[in-house]
Amino acid sequence: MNSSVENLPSDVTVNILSRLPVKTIIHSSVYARSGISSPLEITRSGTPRILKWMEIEDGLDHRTLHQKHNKNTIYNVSKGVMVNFDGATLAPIIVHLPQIHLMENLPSEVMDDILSRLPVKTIIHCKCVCKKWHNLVKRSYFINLHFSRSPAGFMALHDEEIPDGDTSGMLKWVEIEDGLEHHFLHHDPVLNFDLNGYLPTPILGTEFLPLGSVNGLICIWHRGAGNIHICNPITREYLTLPRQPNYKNVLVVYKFGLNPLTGEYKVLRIFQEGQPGGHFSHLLQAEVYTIGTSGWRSIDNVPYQFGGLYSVFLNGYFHWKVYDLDAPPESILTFDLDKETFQIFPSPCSEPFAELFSNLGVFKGCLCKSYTKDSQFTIWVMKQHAIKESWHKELVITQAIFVGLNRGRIFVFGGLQDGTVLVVLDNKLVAYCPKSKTFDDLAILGRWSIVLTHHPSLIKLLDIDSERPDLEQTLGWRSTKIQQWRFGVLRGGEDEAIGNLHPLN
Amino acid sequence: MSKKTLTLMSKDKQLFNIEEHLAVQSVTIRNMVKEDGASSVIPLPRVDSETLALVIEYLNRQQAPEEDEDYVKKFVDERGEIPTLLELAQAALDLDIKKLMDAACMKVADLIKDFTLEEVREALRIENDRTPEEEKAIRDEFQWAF
Repeated sequence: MNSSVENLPSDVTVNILSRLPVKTIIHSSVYARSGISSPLEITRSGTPRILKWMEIEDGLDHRTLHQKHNKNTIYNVSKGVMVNFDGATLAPIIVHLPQIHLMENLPSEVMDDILSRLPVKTIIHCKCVCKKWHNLVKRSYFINLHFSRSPAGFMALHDEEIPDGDTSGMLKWVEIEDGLEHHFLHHDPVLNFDLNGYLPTPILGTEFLPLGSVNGLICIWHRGAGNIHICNPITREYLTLPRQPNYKNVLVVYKFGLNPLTGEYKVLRIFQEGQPGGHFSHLLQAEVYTIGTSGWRSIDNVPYQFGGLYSVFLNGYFHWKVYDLDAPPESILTFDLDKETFQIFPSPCSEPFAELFSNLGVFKGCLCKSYTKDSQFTIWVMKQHAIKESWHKELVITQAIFVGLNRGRIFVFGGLQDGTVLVVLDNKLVAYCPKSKTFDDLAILGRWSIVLTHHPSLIKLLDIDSERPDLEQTLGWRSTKIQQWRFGVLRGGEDEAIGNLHPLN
Repeated sequence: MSKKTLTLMSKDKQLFNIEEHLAVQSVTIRNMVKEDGASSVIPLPRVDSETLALVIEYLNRQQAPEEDEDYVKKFVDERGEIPTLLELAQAALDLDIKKLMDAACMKVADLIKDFTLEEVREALRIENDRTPEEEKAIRDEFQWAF
């Protein structure tokens, strides 16, 4: 007779199994379900729970207590089968628990470390996975850790109707995979951010102008409505800055930055005051708005005429080129977001007549100045901020390798670890590789008008803006008082808008 | 003079010997050695013997510094099972071996980053403790990501 267990009627199997000691029953159920061949295998994947088991052998003539410490039994418990006993009778019963998750006893440091390495999209999915994860990724500690690992990239704004159905006001995200030996650019449409869908747009087709990106927050000037918004494309929150009542002023520029010492986000506004008879004061006046406060504050006038929109935000300073005969030649005007003062410091001597065609930019986290002269494109880098002696000639590109050098304005957009230099030229992002001395047109996004360096973050605006009394009205959120926290530990904010910005009125 | 050896003990009381100059890649052990010379057995109450064997294998590697990065990556790649990697990450945390911790966590993140919600729950054996309504609320709030 060739009978195997498989062919036994289930009633018989149950009858036999029910008489076995608990340990053996657990073995059979685990082996049958997972096909794992050795108890040791099981130990690897589980988080053991220690149970002490006392068995009472309750005979008519005798009674014996056995204490059993059988490792295998204990380990198997963690596999999703738990031995339990009823307190009253001490009769062992087998309970199938829902599968105990692997993270139960895992230190939170390990969980933070793993989840903070995930792409933003996956982290949002994590909020759905279970309550524990939802709470974990909400903590400011996690948000900071994630941001410190957030990939570099940029947002590019399309500002006009284009044939393939893209509309005005679409910010498109491109991630830069920045390796020591290579780099790749990925465009993930999921992270595209359509300003029209999220910001109030009373007039269709009006123009959005991104003013800068810091810690994943983007500041946008909605020119049609005259509003300034700060938004996080990930959390999809935005807030609107209080408006300035005086419309007679001529606006020169808005800038958005972070004071790395206090973690305060600030918007700087520079304008010329309107005077009777349609004239304007030649004085450049300045006001600052700190996010989380209720109004704009006047500060000192801007001491020199400067290069308006084209500026760089780095290490808690805005930087502009100076266009003023009263200033020392080749100066750079800075605004200190902590002290709220304007100052100048020297830039390297560009060659005669090249100054006019020079631009400021960011190169590997340092301020840089580039200019074109005699068909040569030169990049100077200031290795230590505000230290004159640290200016260093980084790179010279000649016309022979790049025919577009004499056209338009060229901005240095960034330096990658593999040596590649990203430059913006005529609404195109091009990559220059110094090793091969070749240029690549990074046609990844098609046509765009403005490009911003950007790092996605989970930072919540509500947390920053909680001091503002009119918050509830502005944001339409419940005005829960949230513990104030600051970004002192994050990178200083090196992100800046550059590109083909239109001159303002 | 022979090289000094240290003894590590796993939570299931197994003993492992390792040369001191290799063991001090672990900041935890380095600090213990500095403080009291660590003459006795060093207990690791959260690390099981199989994981500790892996950690010892890692600490004993004989790689040139420039190849080390690749070695660490390969080391975790070859142990690509999530449960093993989690144990390894926890051991690396306790022993404060940053490179190993980073590599193990990176590998787990790489494994799960393209998973769907259900696959993440499955892979990490997480019970869904959310009601469909709660899940829908999150999906609605972050519509763009789903």
